[in-house]
Amino acid sequence: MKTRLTAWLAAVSCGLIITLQGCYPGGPEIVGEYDLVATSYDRDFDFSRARTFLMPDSVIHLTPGQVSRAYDPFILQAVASQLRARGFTRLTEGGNQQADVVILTSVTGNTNVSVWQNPYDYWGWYSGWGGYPGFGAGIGPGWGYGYPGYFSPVTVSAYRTGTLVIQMVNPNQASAASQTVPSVWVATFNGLLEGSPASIRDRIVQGINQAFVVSPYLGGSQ
Amino acid sequence: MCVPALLFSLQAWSQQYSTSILYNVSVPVSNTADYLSTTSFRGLTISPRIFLNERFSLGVSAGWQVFYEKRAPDAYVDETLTLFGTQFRYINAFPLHLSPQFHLPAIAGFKPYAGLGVGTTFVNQTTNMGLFTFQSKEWMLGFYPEVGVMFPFRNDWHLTLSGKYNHMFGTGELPTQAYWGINAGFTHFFRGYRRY
Repeated sequence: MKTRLTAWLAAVSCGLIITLQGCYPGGPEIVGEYDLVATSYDRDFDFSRARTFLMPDSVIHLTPGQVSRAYDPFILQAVASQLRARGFTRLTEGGNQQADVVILTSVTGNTNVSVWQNPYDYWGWYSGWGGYPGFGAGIGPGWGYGYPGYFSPVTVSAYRTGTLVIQMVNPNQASAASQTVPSVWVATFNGLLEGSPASIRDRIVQGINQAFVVSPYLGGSQ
Repeated sequence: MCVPALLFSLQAWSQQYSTSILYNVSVPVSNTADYLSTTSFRGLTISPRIFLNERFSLGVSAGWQVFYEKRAPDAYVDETLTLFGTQFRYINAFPLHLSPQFHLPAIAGFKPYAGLGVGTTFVNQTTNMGLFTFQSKEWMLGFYPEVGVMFPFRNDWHLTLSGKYNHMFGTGELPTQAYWGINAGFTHFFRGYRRY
């Protein structure tokens, strides 16, 4: 009798535990629920004074072939559009006017990459862009980006995903000694590279727009 | 009506052991509700106990309670860092308590009891956001007061219904946690063990 009852109780307990396990709550059900936007900024930088920007007309592909270049024009267009909507004026390369900030965009995909763990090593100067001749320091190839004070770079690792990084640097405070250009704002959009190209494109654009929505200081309001 | 009640009452104090298996519904409060406010319908408690006499029993209560909440896409700000996305929040609580109970005389067949649990709960709080996981795991000391009632329905089997307030003291990464619980299930009394 005792053995039978013990066995029965054990069976009931196991059954309940298995039932609980079976109804264990799930997680994301659609690709978009994995999307994550992260932004960070240098609080010492006066964004209200930044009115002009320069942006290369190409997206840096850190892992060539992993992310389609078909998304590049949409990325560039969305970033420029958002900056203009916040009162920024885009300058053309080779012009005489010095830009307040430089915008650089890059993507990586489908590998385990810690983008921001050592930005000085990881981020070489954008090789497709000759430099910024309007400044005496001669910012250009061989330079990296610096992160002043408590401005902590965003850490993003990518695993079978795509990551878009938008970086705003301040060429006016470049350090010739350390050969770094301070980064004053960085936004990343991380998500799964799954779904149709059109849906991925839409999610990228939505992510870019959201990065600006959560960064109201870019419009001059702190 | 009084005679069966008396018989059950007389029978009860001749029993020495019982085991309860209870299904739990829990409502988070305090810091737990700040983290997630959704009622949990995923819970289980198993409690074997020994009766020291007709009024007092001493047992162990072990359980598992899963809380879950999906948060709509929102911005989370920490200093200069802002994260925006959908969050999936989980709390897995595994309470393990020593639980003395005081059993009142049966009333119309119902056997009320009051108890206290003192022990620890392993709490695993997990937040999934995007492809990233933020996790805090702690063993938290705590207690629970409990009131309940048992109703015999077949031989040594009793339907059991109880209410608890589970309190866990903050430690390490986790602040004080708490949730109310309503538990329902079966209790089986083992008779005749006195012969062993």
